[in-house]
Amino acid sequence: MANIYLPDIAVIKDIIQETSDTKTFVLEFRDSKIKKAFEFKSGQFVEVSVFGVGEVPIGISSNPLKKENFEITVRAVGSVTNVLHQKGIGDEIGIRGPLGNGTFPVDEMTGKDILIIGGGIGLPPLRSLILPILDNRKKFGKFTILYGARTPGDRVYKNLLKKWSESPKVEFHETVDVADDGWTGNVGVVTILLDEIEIDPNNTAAYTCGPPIMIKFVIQELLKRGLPEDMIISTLERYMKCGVGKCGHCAIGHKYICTDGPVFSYKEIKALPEG
Amino acid sequence: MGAESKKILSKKELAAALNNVMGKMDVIAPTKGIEGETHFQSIKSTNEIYWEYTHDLYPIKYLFSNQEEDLLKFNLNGRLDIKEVSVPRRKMLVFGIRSCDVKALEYTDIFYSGFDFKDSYYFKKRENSILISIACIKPPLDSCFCICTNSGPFLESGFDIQLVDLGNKFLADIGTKKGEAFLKDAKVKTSNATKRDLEKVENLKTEADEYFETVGYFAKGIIQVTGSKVKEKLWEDFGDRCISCGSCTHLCPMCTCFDVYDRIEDENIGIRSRCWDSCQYWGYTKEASGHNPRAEAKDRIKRRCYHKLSYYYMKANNNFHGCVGCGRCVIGCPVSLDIPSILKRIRREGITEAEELI
Repeated sequence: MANIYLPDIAVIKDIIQETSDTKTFVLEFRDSKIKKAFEFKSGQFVEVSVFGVGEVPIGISSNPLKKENFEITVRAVGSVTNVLHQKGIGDEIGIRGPLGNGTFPVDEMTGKDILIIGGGIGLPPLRSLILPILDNRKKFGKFTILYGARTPGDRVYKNLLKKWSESPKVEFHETVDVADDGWTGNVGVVTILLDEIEIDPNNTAAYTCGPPIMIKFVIQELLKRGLPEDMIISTLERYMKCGVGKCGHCAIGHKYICTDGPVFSYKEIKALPEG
Repeated sequence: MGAESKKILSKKELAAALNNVMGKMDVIAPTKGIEGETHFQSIKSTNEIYWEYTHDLYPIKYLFSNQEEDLLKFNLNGRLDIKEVSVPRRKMLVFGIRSCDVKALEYTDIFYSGFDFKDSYYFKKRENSILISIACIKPPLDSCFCICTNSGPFLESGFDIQLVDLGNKFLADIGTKKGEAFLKDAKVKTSNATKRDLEKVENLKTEADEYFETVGYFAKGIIQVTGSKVKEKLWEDFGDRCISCGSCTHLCPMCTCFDVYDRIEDENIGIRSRCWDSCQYWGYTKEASGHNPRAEAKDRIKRRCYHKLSYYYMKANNNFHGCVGCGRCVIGCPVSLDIPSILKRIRREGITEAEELI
């Protein structure tokens, strides 16, 4: 009987300092067979083990079409993530996954306009969706990305944001809640950016990820603009231990974020009794 | 299994069989505690069995999903190596287990194999166990309400053998091949049940049903909780009263939640373990960011009730109620927020005006 709690060993191949408290880790499985077999879908997550400290669920932030390794972007906020941040290149950690059955629908949205709204550290899971869409840009209609961060210093993937802002393949807008001296862009919550763009409510799929309060307002604004409930797609997050529907922590109503999610449409979220 | 699976065996014969197998497997049976209470524990001889046993407040689930359990062992220095902590491959016979607890295990068998993820630690113990239950002819305690949750006093499935007390003998209802093999291996002399024996069992069944008080508001409670039609004021009232001690969930044979934590054994070795957790604890849903979606006791009680009583959960779990009516929460909750009491109040005062819509 396979052990569902036994992690595989992955080696940290590279570390990118995104902000003062956020790093991207490039990971590769130590075992070449596991490395070769590892495939994931946009929106899936892995359970990351820092042995001796614990295990945390983290969304995969890299392109599922990229095969040689995968990436996670982690903010140092709890006990495990803080110790993970002290790890260096070549260090080994544990990985279980990919996990999650509810993933970002991509192929189903062929031909549609794609609108992505990310907040702060909510951008990394969306990056696993943005990158393959850019790779298959012709399959979709208009492609818009909106990003909001607390301060200019909290913006993740700064190089990528610059690339998107200059790319003809995507319409990119961003804002910060609080500006600093060097910031010349928008100031305000991410929903103000919705006023800067045109949305065709009959042909748009919107994806959002960010702090719970941001998601709540984004959904409200999208509904106001006439988007159908099943075309508003969000991730839900809860404190989680096992990731395989056993420990109970991430349950909302009769759904588990880990095995039924972490991606849900607003139509599904609305039906959850404690949603 | 049909009528041929109903055998008669004398109590003497059964005791001899249990003594016979004791060297080969761990026999867990009801024993008498110092205050006359019932404890299921490993016995060395059938003389230790407390035949007038009632109900163990401590749930039988601890045999299969231990209160604390080591999962993994890893080194902290050098090349990282992770090993599974092996589960003892010891055979276990649970004798005298009550119908409610059998039903709870039947449910946890489904739960622990859900979503194509099989919990090997649970199943390695479960697969090595035999359940010999004794049907309840009278409610062992006043708190019993299994008749409302379709989990007793007599069962149709879930057991390996179900015994019905017929005075100086038992009728053995053999439920599985495992049960059949046990009787054979232990060399138990049995005879076929006569028509009279079977009639007697039927009469006892009817009598037993009458002994158990029917709590008629169970179904109604399910409707109200499923439809989120319980007044917020009532949840608030429950929340004010609850002391978040977790007794209800720890004592509940169907509660499965666990926490996972790492500990350092010595400077070289670390262990990953799990232990029972409770959705009634404040920290259960607290995220690293500080955000806590169920920071208030009223929301945690709502959560527990939803898990125990929602129709959607039933549907997701082969129509199992989230409660087997064992009554442990009735005994264990220090502030009477047990399932029957909660349901009683939902029925009497907790329904919103939307009730008419059902």
